[in-house]
Amino acid sequence: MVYRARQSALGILALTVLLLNGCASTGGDIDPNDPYESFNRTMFSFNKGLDETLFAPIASAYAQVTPAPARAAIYHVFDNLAYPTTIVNQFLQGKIERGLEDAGRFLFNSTLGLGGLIDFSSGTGLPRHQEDFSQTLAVWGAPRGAYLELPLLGPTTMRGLPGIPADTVTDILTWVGSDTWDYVMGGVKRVDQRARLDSAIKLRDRSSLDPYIFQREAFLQKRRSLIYDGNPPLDSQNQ
Amino acid sequence: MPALWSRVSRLLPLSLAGLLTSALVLATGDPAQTVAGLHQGLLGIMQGGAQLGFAGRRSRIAPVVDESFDFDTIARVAMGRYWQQMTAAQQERSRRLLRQLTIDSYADNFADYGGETFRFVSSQEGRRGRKIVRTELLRVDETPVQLDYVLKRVDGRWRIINVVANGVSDLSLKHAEYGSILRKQGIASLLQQIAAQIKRLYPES
Repeated sequence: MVYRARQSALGILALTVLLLNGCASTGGDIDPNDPYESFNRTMFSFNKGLDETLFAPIASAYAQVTPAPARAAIYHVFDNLAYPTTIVNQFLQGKIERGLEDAGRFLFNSTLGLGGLIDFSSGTGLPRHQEDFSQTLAVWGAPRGAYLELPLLGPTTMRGLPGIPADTVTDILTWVGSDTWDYVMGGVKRVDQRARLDSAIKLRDRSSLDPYIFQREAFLQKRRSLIYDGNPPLDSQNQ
Repeated sequence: MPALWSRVSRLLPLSLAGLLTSALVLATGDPAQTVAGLHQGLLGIMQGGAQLGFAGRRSRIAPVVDESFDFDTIARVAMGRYWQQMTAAQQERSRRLLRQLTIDSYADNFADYGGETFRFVSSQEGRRGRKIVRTELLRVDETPVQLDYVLKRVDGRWRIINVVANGVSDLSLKHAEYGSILRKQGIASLLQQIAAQIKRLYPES
């Protein structure tokens, strides 16, 4: 399972490198903030088209057919299975106390919470945290690098690329079950994620002048906020 | 008369000073007060909700927005280095459009009340003399929304120049979007697109 996950991630990375090399800079109109903009915009259009024709209708059907409490339970199971990613990266970032808190939360949800079906977080005083390997690299001092939109995988950055295979390794879902089970569960997880993103995607398309830029900026700022654990420095140089 | 006048005239500077001081205190205020005023206005239109209708909510929140925001700075930052290249008329139009966008989006988004409250979290110094007021919008049965405001002192009053919702800065979003359009399509096209966006999003406006 890990081998296969690593394979597909590497496959996408290889494809990206090939495509990036093919899109040599046209000079002039390059935004220094987004050097691969023309490649990214192409991928954005591809992903948006695929989403509108395939993923959005499936997610919409899922949301209609599955009652809200069931969807919440499904989400919590996947979230709990992936929680070791947060735990491991808390420790890697030196946030020991938080790592222990999160380990406690994971154990609590896995046992009393029936493998994550029930999420007790609001009652226990153990808030949910969100850490991953790309944030760890940021804390370790790695520069962010260029923004990238990948086919199927969506927005990331140069620094985010190693996180793709790394976060798969710390997700329990990668390790359990047969190959078929993996595909099915992976599919359900993606559909649930897409359903949750629905209002954000509608907001992006409805209220922006340029949905590509809106998504890029919202993504980069959200990542920055996560790296600073919800308290990013708010003044930018141009204010 | 002269004696009375001389007594009054001695008091005059004191009372003027008194008036001036209290005026300064009222004007200077506290950045948290500006944010509280905005939130109070938003609660008002939420609670007025459907009865007010979009037009009613709009006319109620407009003066609150006018008192709380600094659209001069917002427009300048949103347009970036293209601000210098704009004519005075274009600059004025940018200010008006951004003002309208802000008012309309509040009137649209804060349209009903389900027990929401705003909670003050903290007030801090920012760089370049700015103040940052952190708050939360608490909703029933939903995750709270982190709302952080960046304020600037303008003519003795603290005014909002940026709203950061859940870590995403509205001003930075606009700066990035507008910058791309300004670079590729020019000032006139951008202003037209913003006007069209307002009409598309808020047809009742």
